[in-house]
Amino acid sequence: MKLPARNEIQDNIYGILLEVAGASGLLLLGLLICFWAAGVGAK
Amino acid sequence: MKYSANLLNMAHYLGKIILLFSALMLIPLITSVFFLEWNTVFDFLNSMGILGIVGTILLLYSPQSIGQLSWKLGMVIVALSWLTAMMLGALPYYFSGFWLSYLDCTFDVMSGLTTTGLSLVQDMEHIPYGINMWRFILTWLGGQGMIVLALVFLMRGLPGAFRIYVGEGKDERLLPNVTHTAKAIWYISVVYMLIGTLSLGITGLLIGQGPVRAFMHGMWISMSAWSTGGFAPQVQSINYYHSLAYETVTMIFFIIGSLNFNLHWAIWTGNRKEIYKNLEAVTFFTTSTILVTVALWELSKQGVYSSTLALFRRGYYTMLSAHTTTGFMTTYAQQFITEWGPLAMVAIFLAMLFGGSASSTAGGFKAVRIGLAFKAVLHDVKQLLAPERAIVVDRFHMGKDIKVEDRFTRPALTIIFLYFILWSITSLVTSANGFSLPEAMFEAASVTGNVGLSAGVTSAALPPVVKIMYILAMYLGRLEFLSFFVLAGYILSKLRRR
Repeated sequence: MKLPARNEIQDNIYGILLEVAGASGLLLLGLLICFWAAGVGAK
Repeated sequence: MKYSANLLNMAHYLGKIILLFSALMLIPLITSVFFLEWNTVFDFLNSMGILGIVGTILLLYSPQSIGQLSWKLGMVIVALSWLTAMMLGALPYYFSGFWLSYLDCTFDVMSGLTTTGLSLVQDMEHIPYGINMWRFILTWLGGQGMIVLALVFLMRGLPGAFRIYVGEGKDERLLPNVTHTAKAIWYISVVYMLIGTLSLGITGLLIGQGPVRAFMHGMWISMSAWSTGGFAPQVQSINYYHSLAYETVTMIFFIIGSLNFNLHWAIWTGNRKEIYKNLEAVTFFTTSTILVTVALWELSKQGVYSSTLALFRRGYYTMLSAHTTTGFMTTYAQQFITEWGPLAMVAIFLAMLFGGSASSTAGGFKAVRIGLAFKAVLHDVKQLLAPERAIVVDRFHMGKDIKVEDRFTRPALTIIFLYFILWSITSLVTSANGFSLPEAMFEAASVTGNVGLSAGVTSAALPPVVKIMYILAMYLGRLEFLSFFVLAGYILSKLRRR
């Protein structure tokens, strides 16, 4: 199997970082919703 | 002549897949040798021997494939491959003695291969490392697709390879050549497995696990999370670790695992804007946010979880685990029925049925079909409101802009309809065997969507008819009906000719 070139590996790493950042962003949004929901429950 | 050519082709491809399965057992075998589990070593040697004999006989009968595979035969081969893998992949489980019957073993293999994650194993805490390794290999393999694996290692350059690739529910190519596509899928999966093993291994060490245990659990859980599988080495699933860090890392991996391989490839090759333009990613983001908000509102209002952190670690985790069709649990099974409340239950039913992305490791009827169904309704309404002679043109983005047309929306609506039918039948069969309707509907949504969350219905004590129904539901849900229908049609047509 042909190994990917250096710039291809760089693109791959940026891609992974973007996917991890996207998933983490979704978790942060989830945390915000939890914070809101906890406030609703406390009323 | 045509009939015998078809049979020879079937025997040829099945023989190769069986031999591949036999070779795969080397990994758990080596694991067992490493941990000095000699009984398990013999279980795998026996299984490999049986698979080796069956595969060799089939290949001796049909050493070469004949001509180009037809679409129909491609689908039949895929449907048969999954059934054969289920029957033969269960041998090490059966020999190990940790399952009560062969049916239970086949249930667990199908649950693994379809990345469902429900299990009927006895005394899970004490199963050998080798057997655990086989469980997680099955679920990881199922995530990528068995046929994808076969395309990488055994079927390079074979005529009609794309036709069996499509049969496994992966209808898009990342690259023009199907073998290159399969390799790209494997490249992405292996990279994420390595990153997952490392990050969960380190997390395991930080929460006090020993190095070997931390590494093995890290590898297994990362395989399971990436595959949206849901198997865990402990009965308590992710709850066992009692760690926010462990939960957060697994969530990141199962969210990423539920994305379309085409989207991964686009992002990995520099087309990074695709992440917010892609219909499927946008739909998944929208539906998960709406369903999570509804469920958390209800859970908080009912006082099930009162603090932000409890809502995040129990409610949010479970909802995302359901929507990505992973099935990792941080709650106890009975809580769904006794505590969650009707609105949260409806939200989790829908999350389990919606599922992740097409051409991903996830199950359910997939975000792209929800997006397309929504676009179809919107298109029809616009057409009705427009002047009579006007032609309304709508587009959606999946790698490129595509016109909303019946040839895309109709199959999407058909599959959604079929999933609902399967869910209803599975619910009825469960309910008819002594379970309450909420329990039955929950478990049925879990098997139909290949999720793996449980309301406590799935156990070795289930009546065989329910176990068989669940195996069928997992199988149909994973192959998205088509391959099975073609197989059933093929068998019926042969029977009618006799």
